[in-house]
Formats: sequence, C-alpha cells, structure tokens
Amino acid sequence: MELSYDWRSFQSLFYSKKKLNSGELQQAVYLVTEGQVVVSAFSEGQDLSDWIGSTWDEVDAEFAHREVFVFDRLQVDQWMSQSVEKVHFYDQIRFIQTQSQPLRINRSRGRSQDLMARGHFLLLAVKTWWRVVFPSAYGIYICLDENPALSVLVLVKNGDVSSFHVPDLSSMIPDRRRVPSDVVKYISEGHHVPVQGLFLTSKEWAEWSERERPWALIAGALRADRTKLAPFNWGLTVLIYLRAYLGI
Amino acid sequence: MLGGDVNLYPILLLVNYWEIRPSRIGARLDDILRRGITQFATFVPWQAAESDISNLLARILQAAADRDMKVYLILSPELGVHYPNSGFPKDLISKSENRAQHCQSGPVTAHFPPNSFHLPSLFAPDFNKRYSSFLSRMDGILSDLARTQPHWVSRVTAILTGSLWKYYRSPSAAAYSPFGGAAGDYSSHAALAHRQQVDQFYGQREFMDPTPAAANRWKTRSLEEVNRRWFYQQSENTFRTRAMHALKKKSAQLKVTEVELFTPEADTSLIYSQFLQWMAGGHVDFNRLSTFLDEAASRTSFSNATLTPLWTHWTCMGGFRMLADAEQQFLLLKSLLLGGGQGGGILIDETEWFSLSAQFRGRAESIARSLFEKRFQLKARAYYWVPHLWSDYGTLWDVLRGRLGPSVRMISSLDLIFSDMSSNLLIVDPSCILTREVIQKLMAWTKSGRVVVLPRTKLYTELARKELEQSVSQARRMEIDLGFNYQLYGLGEGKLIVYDTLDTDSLKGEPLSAWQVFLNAILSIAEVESFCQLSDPRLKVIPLEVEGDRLATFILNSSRRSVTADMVYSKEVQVGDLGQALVSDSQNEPEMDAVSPGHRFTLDVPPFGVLPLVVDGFNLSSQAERHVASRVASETREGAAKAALVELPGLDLQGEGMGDLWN
Repeated sequence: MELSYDWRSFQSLFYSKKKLNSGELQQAVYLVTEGQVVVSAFSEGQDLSDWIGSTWDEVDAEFAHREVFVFDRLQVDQWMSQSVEKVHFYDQIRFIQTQSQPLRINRSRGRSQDLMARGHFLLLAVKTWWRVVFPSAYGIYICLDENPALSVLVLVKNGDVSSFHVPDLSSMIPDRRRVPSDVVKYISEGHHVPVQGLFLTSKEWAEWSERERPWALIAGALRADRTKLAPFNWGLTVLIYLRAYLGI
Repeated sequence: MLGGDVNLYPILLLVNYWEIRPSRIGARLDDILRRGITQFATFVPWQAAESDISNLLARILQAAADRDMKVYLILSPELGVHYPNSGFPKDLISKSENRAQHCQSGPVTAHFPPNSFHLPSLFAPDFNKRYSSFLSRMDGILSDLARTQPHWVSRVTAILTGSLWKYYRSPSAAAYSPFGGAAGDYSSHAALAHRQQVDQFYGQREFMDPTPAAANRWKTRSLEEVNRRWFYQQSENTFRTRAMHALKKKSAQLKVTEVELFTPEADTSLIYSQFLQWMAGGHVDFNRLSTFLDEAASRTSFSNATLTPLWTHWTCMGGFRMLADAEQQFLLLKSLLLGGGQGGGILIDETEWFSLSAQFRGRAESIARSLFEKRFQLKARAYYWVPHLWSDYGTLWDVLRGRLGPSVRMISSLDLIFSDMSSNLLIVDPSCILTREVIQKLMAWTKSGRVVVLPRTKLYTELARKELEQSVSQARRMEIDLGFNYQLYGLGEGKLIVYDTLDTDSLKGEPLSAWQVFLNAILSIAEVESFCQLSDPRLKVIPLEVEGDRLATFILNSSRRSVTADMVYSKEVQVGDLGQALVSDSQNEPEMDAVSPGHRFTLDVPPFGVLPLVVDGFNLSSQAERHVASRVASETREGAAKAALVELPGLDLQGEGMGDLWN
C-alpha cells in the first residue's frame, strides 16, 4: 500500500539526526508556564526537568545570560488543538510553529521571527515568492545515491506540502529506473503534475540540510554536475543562483 | 540471532505488512531472513484491516509460513502506528461525541506522526461496536485460514495490549510527573458508565451493612475520585477480557498473548515538551523519555488473571529516531533491562534496529538472550497496591520508588501479588476500598511471614473494619510515634502496620521527611533494603537477580558527562565484570580481575553508559527459601486447622494454648 503521508521517509530526508556536541549550554531556554509556574522546560542539550514546578522568574534569574521564551499553557493547548484540523503531521507542526507566539521573550536576540522560520531550507523555499513563479501544483522528487528506497516525492499545492511518499516504481522497466529523466517522467505521468527531480548523494543532502541557507553549496554542486536536476530546468537553476548569490 | 522459538523474545522487530508493496512481500521477507531474523511483529491497523481488499494480511502470513517465520500480529489499537490516525477509522474519530476527555475537560490528543488526532473514548458505543466487529473479522480471517491453510497460522501469535487506557491523562498534570494527576476518561459516555457501575457495585450486600442507606455514603461526591479509580481499572479489565473473547470465538487454537505496550514518544506526558521542541528546533527531550521509562516500568498491569509484561515500542517516526546514537542506545538498553527483566522487551522498527552499530546490537542481543533464558530477572521486592494503575499516588509511593527503584511495583491486582513468592512487603494505598474479603486475604498473607502496611481510612466497609479489629485483637501490638503514629502488630509469622492517614494532613510542615522516616521503619521491619546505594544521583541502578545467588547490577548514567561515584553495599560483596563472569560460568573457568571484597567501590561511568557488574555476596536464595518455607508452613497450618474443625466440631482454634501446638 502506498501511504499518502509516508512520514518515516519524509522525516528521514527532512529532519536530521542529532549530533552530540559540548557547546550547547548557551542555548535558549523555552518554557511553558501556567500562571507563574513552569509546566515544561527545554533547552537543547540540558536537563531542565528540575525546574518544572518552579516559578518562571526563578528560571529566568538562573539563566540570566540566556534568551528565555515563555509560552502560556492555555494558548499552547489552543494551538495544539487547532493543529489537529490540518491533514498531515508536517502541516500540523508548521501550523503550531507559525501560530505560536511567546508570551514573553527575555533578553531577545531578535530570534522570535526565527521560531516561525524553522524548518528545512527546501520546504521553506517553496513557501517563499517562488510559489508565484512555480505551477500551482507540482512535485519535487528527491533521490539520494540513485537508490529509489532513499527517495521521496513531495507534492506541493499552492506553496503548501500536500502529500509525501516514496513513489512505486515497481511497474517500470528496470533499465528505465536508472535513467533520472525517465523516472521523473513516469512519476509525473502517474500523478498528473509536473515533477522536478533532484538526484544527488546522501552526503551532500545531509550537508545542505544542516544549514539554513545552503544555496551557494547547491549552486556549486549543480555547476560541478554532482547534483542533477531532471529534467534540467533553466528557470529553477536561475532561481537557485539568485538565492545563492543575491540572497533573493 | 533474533529467532527464539518460544514466545516473545525480548527484542522484537517490527515489519509492518501494509508498508510492503504486494509484489515485494517475498523479496522483503527473504531480505529479513538473510539478516538472521526468524520472527517479526506487525501492527494490524484497524482501518487497514477493514479496507484490505487485496488480502494483504493473508499474503504476508503465507509468505512468512513458506519461510518458517514466526509472526506476531498486534491487534489492539495503539499509538505510534505508521498509518493515518494510528489506524483508527477516520469516520469514527472525527465525530466529537466519540472523543475521550481528560480530567480538565479537554480532548486527549495524540500529537505524534503520521498525524495528530483526538483519541476516541473506549466507552463510546460506536467505538465498541466497531472494535468488536473488527476483532470478529480478524477472528473470522484467522479461523478460516486455520481451517483451509493451517500451516499459515501455525506460527502466528496474536498480541493484545492495554490500548488507549494508559493515555487518558491530562497533559498539564503529566508534565509535572509522567503519571501525575487524575487519569481516566471524563467524557459523557464514561460518566454514564461510571454512574451505572457505581450503583451496581455498591448494591452489594456488604456496602449496605448495617442498613441499605449505608450504601449512600460510598456514592457521595467526596468519594468521586476514589470511585473513578476502581471504575477505570474495572473497565480496562473488562475491555481486555472482551477483546480476548471476541478474538477466540472461532479461532480457539490461535495463540494469543497479552502485553502492555508503551510508546514513550507518543505519551501524554511529552506533549508540552514536544511543543517546545518544535519551537526550539530541537529533537526530543531525552531526559523525559528516560524518566518515563522508570515510571512505566514500575507499574505492572494485568489481564485475565495474569501479568501483562511491559513492552516499549521505539518508533522510527518520532524524536527517538533523531536522537544521537549514544542516547538511542542508552534508552534501548534501559528499556530492554526494565521490560525484559519482567518478561517483556522492546519493539523496534527493523530498519531502525539495523541502523545501529553491529557492536551495540551484539551487546543488546547478548543481554536479551540472558533475559529470555531467565538468567536475569527483575524481581519485585515490594508491592504497592492501588485501585487504578495509571493514576497519581501520593508521597509514600514516590518515596518508596525513590528508595527501591525498579524493585518496587505498583499493581492493581491483589491476587497477583499473593501469587508472587519473591516479595515480602505490601503497602496498600489509602484510596483502596477495603472489604472483608480483602482484609481476610491480607491477614492470611501477613501471617505467612510477610509485612502488610494498611492505611486507616474511611474506605473500610463495616465488615472489613470488624474483621481487622478481630484479627488484631489477639495480636501483639506496639504503638510507635516517629513523625506520625502507627501501630505494629505481630500476626502469625508476619507483621501488620496500620497507620492513620488523618495524621498525614497534619504533616504539612515537613511531610516528606516524615514519610521518609515512616518508610525507613517499614523497610527495616520487612527486611527490604536497596541492594546498592550510589553517591551520585545522576546514576541509577537496575538490579537483576542472576541464577546462582548473584546479582547483576547495571549502573546507568543518563547524563552527557562521565560520572565518578561510589557504590555502597549493605553487605560485604565481591564485584566483577558481568560479561566476564557469564563467560567464565559457561566455560567453568575461574573469574579473572575480580575486585577484592568490600562495602564501597568507586567506579567511572561514561556518558550515556550502561555498566554491567556482577555482585556476589547477597544471600538471595536463602531469603527466598525462607519466604517459601514460611508460606508453606502457614498454608499447612491453615489446612490442618480446617481439617481439625471438620473432624472435631466445636474445637476452638483461638483457645488458650492452641497456638503453642505449632511452635
């Protein structure tokens, strides 16, 4: 059975695995509070569970040198509950990320906008002004290491991710499965939308995915022919170059 | 190799049949077989089974049978299934009237991939009708296959779990402590069932003593929370029993096993933590997952008069997948030790398992093998009896768990406590309703050399109160006042402690220390002590009893820094490396590198390390033998007394000098 929302494949491509490093103790502190009392606390790489049940100003005083984001529990409940109306998990997370506003930000380093902008560079890119120049419905097929098992097709409608899954290529002639343009054509015909294929190595993809703006790397990989667009698309290449070198 | 022939090897790999393309089933199973796996589990999502027009389930059973593979079908609806709405029919869960509610009147929501959704109420008639028809359908499919293709199902085992009951908790209460707050479904369907059940329960003669109006005192608003607790436990038991009956209606030969399956990443207690991860761009709160494992492992559920072992499901969809390798390995080993030590284990996606290093897998499999062969066992040294397993209990439970760690179990079945020979101590929670039958059982258990701690509450029936008074009237009594009052009675070879819960209200000044003093006294009377104390609170210990009077202690460091700490034992012991000890045992060779005997040892535990040690010097078997001998003596005495009463009518067993006959 082909799942319309194959979260596992989607997650493996768009959410990277954590790496342990020792420089995480200066990370921002995030709190959910009920009145003054801390209900939940998080900071990357640190166990803050002992602070649950304390008041938020105690936490604030303890982490006086760090940014502290405070969210109100009742509002969190509301956002979380409303997110259920969205169809799939990625949409639900995006809804929460875009709706949620901290009740209070202490020692802001201007990152409140970043909270909403978090995510994978490619999924954020399709929501930018690119949506105006792209078709209203299309697909992005990402294939790593020429291995169909390490691939995912993301269907985008009006700039929003509408579904994601690993396409079934089993009925393709085996020889054709190795030709990127044929694979993309096959998928495109199957879904009745234009599909842009992106064929690259998993190492390169992992490197890009760790960055917020890897566009210069992508442009370099395209120029060096390490990464292939199938079919080759001048328009998209120009857009990537514009973003890489002019930041637009 | 993950291929034991006996049910439920502690590491069970998940290969979901509906995620395999029909044309690839054979090839996929061949691939799995090549990796040395001869058995696998698959969820059977309700919605997938209802719309299985291509008979995918039968096809995978056939393919597995052709390859002599064992298949475990997880039939109960659970969270963490990689299927839309975790497999629940969409039309069913989309109706607001079918939704469950937590104690703060909000919907109980699973915020977990592949999509968040509101959990249905297991009391909703629509749900029950549909679930029962799903089970009947599964029963029909499996019985048809058993008739027409018996070898397809001969190696199939159905698994039933506790389903959603454990998730009906308020996220805000659970954020403080995983099982904090009042648990249970507070939807209108549940309220209706609750009222009916309360009327029926208190219609029993014992509650109407001395007059029928006496039953009303049990139905008052002040006992609402008490009544809800036993009601939810009874409802869960009934749900499990019905599921078992529905599944075995036609397929009587089908092997069915019951477990308690937790998916920590999908748990209610992690909801706000997850929210913060999404906002922070983080992964998952490793420490919360680790704490959750401790809490879940200390609660022992049961079904149809048997214990249901704890299984931890690590998915490849949530934050677990994104944890660093060292963190993943720590959680896997911890859940394997806590679950496997009690007859359970871990359920993990096959691809996730093989993404771990071969060295780690080898280590985990070696532990799993020992657990499977029952060479290591996590035995309960004390029980805490409660009316409902998923509710929050007071300070005494917290202090007890803090002292004994994984060696103490919360349980809601008294009979199962009595059937366990290893434990010596039972503490009754003040929210338990005590009837005459319960008091009689507790007294009998006490007399066989155990220690029972009873709260003096208003939740005794009149007959129970009289029974207790009568039982202790002849007993030696000691009045103790250390922080608060309690009475110690010597009953037979055991001891009964009765404490006044009203006193606990007056302890508001320093309640924790008063409870600690009280608990110290209890543990001392029961001769239950923690095997090992660690000087650094970042370290935890899981003590498993090993064949041959030894103890396997796994020292766990959940922090990201190396910890140097002292281990302090109450007796002089000898400590060595567990792996080496097991190898020496199997080859009958003397052990190398054993540290000279002592009480205190210093050790370094690396970040996220799990250090296996073997400890010699605890006389575990003699303690167990003493308990067994005491129990046998008590049973013999009771049997002889009964026989004497039959033979000699009018004999007064309470009479003077009768007790001396046995001493």
